[in-house]
Amino acid sequence: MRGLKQTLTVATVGDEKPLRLAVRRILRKYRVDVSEVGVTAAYHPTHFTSGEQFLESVAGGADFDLLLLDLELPGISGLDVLTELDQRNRSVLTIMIISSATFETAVRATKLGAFDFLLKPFSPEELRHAVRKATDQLVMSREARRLTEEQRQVRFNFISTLAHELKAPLNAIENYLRILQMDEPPERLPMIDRSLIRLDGMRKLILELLDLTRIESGQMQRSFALVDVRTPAWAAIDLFAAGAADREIAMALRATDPVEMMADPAELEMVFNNLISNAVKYNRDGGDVTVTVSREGDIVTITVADTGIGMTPEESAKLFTEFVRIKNKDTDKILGTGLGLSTIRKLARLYGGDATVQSEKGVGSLFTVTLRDAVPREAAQGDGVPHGAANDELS
Amino acid sequence: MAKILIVDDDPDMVEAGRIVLEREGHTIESASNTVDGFRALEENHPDLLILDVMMEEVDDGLLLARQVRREGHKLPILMLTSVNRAMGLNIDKDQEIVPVDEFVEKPVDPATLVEKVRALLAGREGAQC
Repeated sequence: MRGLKQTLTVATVGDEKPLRLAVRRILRKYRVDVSEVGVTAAYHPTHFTSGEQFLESVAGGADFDLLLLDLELPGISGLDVLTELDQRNRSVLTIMIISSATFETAVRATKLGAFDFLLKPFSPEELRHAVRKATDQLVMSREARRLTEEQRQVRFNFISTLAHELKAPLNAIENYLRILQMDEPPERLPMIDRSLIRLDGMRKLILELLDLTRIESGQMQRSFALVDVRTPAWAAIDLFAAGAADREIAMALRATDPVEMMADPAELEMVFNNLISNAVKYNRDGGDVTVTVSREGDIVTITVADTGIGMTPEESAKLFTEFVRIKNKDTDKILGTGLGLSTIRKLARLYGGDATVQSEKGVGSLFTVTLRDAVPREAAQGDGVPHGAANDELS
Repeated sequence: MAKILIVDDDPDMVEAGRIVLEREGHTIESASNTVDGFRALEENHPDLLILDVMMEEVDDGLLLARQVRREGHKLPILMLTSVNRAMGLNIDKDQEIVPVDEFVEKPVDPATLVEKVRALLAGREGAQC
């Protein structure tokens, strides 16, 4: 059965003309059926006589599905090419062409991501076999990625539909409660107040769920700008200041100089709001919340420390999982959705960073979020191509 | 006191509005879709229209508001929205696109509803004098 045709671009990098001609002749007519996913692959061969020439083409935006790479090249070696591709985050499925199978080169090439080897001189059948294996790998992994992406979309659509459907009944309930509130006898008012508080919690849950799935699905509209990270930190401290003051919790931001990075301001706000609201919520009365922001090289670090109830190592370990709330006698009076921190971690990873916690039961917790620039700085003016760590998870 | 028409496809939203506004002495009529809503408006000539944005379609309410204006009705329109950041939509008072007099975000606090209705009706009387 012949499936959907896909033409894969194959770059051959080598300075031996007979080899290049042979590859071209063989691949032009070659077809591979990946029947599991109903795809028939054909090949479009291009060649380069040196590693430099190939890398230049890649830097210029050329994209290849498959790379046949001679280890021995006139200028930089095949291993250099692989290293360079790896560093630029532009890895291509690679078949290394080698003249003697030394264990050492094989190991190094594999470490750099080479998928397979062809030993010179090779027969047309050996070439076809290697290309078929690589094609299977390529097509199947793309299909797997597509399915994962599709699953995320389904989840996002499901949750956003659900969220919107839930809003109408919540509104109706709240309307009636507010009418009851107007002339209910005073002894019943606390029940209505609690109902309204729980209703509000439910609404927050829905919004957080939408945020989380939106981040996951990559459907978030992100707009990056050069941000002084202290600004959203101040805004969040301000937002929770009243609640903190009620319980005599002191809040401080330790950062005297501007800490600039390329980020979506709304996302930074999400990070600070979440961490600082937690730091107040789970603190003891009269405690402290200390926020720091700093930048060292590529990495911006945000820390939020509290002097609250803290956690055991077991509790800390599962804290960033969706819907996990630490349940014990210290937390049972505190409302939360169990979504905030998993969202923060996903967000941090979108920025090529992470979110972690160090905590001691009864002493307090220190949350650390690391972030890298979402896009290069010049991209703000529109002349940079977004790439790098921030886009890894989206691609 | 005034005659008020509420157009909303959620019967509980209509009912809650009715309870609150009848206490104030208003007469309430209701419809659950734009066609019935427009018919009720032409037949009963209410003093105020309270309108939900989203009914069968996401912009039903907006379309009805435009139809009402196009047909020359000048009564004040109060629009209820549950449009918030989760929708990624931002509706504002733009007379061209959204020819309404006031917006209230759902759920509506009864006191706010009474207040807005009072203000809109007062504005109407003022205009007539």
